[in-house]
Amino acid sequence: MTNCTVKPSSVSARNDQTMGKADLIAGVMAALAGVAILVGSTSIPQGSLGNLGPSLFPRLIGVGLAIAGGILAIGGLRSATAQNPFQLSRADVARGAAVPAAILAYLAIYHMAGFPLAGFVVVSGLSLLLTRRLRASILLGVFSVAAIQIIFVMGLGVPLDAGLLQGVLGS
Amino acid sequence: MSAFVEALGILADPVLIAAILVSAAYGLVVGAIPGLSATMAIALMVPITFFMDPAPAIGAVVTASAMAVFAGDLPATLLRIPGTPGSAAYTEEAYAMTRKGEAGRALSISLIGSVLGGLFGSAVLVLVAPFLAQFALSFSSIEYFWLGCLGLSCAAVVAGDSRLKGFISLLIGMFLATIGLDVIAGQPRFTFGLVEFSGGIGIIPVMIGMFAIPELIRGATSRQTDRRDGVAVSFAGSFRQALSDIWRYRIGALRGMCSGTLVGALPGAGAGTAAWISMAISRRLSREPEKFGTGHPEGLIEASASNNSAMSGAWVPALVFGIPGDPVTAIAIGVLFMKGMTPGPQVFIHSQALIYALFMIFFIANLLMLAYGWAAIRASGYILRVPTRYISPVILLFCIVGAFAINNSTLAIVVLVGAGLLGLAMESARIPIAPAILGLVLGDVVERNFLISMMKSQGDLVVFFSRPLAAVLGATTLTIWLAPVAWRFLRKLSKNPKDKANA
Repeated sequence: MTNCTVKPSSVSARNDQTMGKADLIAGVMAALAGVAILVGSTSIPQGSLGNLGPSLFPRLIGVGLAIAGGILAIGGLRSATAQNPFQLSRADVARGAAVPAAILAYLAIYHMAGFPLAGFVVVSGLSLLLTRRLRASILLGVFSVAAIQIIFVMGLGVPLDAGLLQGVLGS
Repeated sequence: MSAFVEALGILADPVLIAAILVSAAYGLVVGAIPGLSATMAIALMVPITFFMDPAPAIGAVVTASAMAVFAGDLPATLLRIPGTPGSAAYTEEAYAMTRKGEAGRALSISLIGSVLGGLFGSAVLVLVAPFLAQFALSFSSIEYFWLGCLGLSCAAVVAGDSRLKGFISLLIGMFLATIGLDVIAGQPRFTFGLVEFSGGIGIIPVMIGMFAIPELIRGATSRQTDRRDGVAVSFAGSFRQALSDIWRYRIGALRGMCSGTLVGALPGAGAGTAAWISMAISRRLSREPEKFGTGHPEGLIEASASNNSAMSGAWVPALVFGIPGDPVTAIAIGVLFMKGMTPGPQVFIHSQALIYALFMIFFIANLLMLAYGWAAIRASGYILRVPTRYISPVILLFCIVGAFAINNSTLAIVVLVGAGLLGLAMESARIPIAPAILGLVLGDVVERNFLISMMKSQGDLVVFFSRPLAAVLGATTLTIWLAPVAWRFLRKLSKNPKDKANA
């Protein structure tokens, strides 16, 4: 039987290299964001020395981000390998993407059918994905929507659109 | 003396007692809901104060705000969702303690720290309110600019290992703060033609998004579906342990109370800035700075004490001059006006009994916090017992509705998801999130005061050192910024001769 051991130093070196790739990507993204802010701020009035315009701070931030991102990218380039820094399986990515997807689904359903249905779909759908239990997920969705309806709408007066259930909930 | 007796009579009013007890529970519940801040708790109760006499109305506002500020620590500690900008300063530390199975200890520290801070701030309010208000009023835009810069310097301390990444995070937050109409000329910036962005990006959706969404995504991707597996949920002995922690770091706690009261008394600075400054001071002066970020109680003690003392401190300029120290006192001033009490020096002469009663309510509210807070901590233990896969979808819905409730706009939900993805990307690259929140909180303060000062001086930069207080603050800030660079340069210089000698 082969005894497979990994020296801590090699693990650390591999982590550094992986982080180097992440730093490279993050640095390039930050630098690009800085340039985009600089370009975006050209349409904002510049002002004069005695009356500095609203573009001063965005410009300074843009320059700062471009330089700092550049330094981070160069540092990352020195230690980067071809290894993927974000090691996730496809299933993991799909489950992770379900969270922002659920928010976007809420937005779409809220505008069409109102809060109760949107809230129910988000909670029950996400719960079903994570637990694989249909009955529990449906119950969780119903109770969550009811709790929010009581706390936010009835208690705090937040105007959540009742949508399709307008007549039933009376709001 | 007669005013004091009269104040005791006001306090004995059953309506006032009921208002304090109910508003305490209300503040605790609303503050603990992810997405609902202390400001929102107070704003939502204003219509109810219409129907109250002055003493119960003000009593309810004071009690609910004190409770809500502490309650913000509950979701921060248990779910990594800061309830207030102030609690964002120590969210990572408190959540790290939760992951180590020390949620009870972290929450007990927050509770005792908040109570001590609140009591200290109240004592200062009673004893030196006029003096402190005078000091706060001597601050001009120049001093506020330097104070903002000093606050931004905290990013270097809260950034963790990489200052460069902390700086990038800070700039991202400062950029987000520039979105909306600019503070001087009213020029739209990066609004993409959307009217909803004119008022800027709300700090609450960004804060929830950056902290909570990556945590929810991580929870969903994790094969170990319950991130708190193996974490003990026992709260037994946590209160005693918290007391011993606070005693151990008593100097830091006292420092947090003093700096919190002082910063809180500065109009516009508020509890958010105070907690961040305290966290940074705590780490800088700690004998064990390497333990910060790993679930170490030291910074949590100082910052949570600072958070609540700042809340009391904010009432100093509000009562003495009618100038709000933070959004909560701004609403409270409105309630005072509504009840025929014009805040200012005159209120101490014409409504002496009511002012004494108000001071006593501050102490009662903070002492009540101990009992209510302890009950809330015990109840919160149930949250930790629920498996993450069941609680995550419910938290997500609360985050969505909480973000919506800020302005009743679905655009806040778009901001929430955008900030969440940005936070996830930053975390993946090990860029700390905390400096971005600091940049978002203070970016506007720094920009506004810089531009106002430059306008007043017709572009002369010397104005930033023209006043003694400004010069001291400016010199301190520049020293903090330049000291690491100078230190590195000196070390290089001292190494070079040795290298040459070796060669």
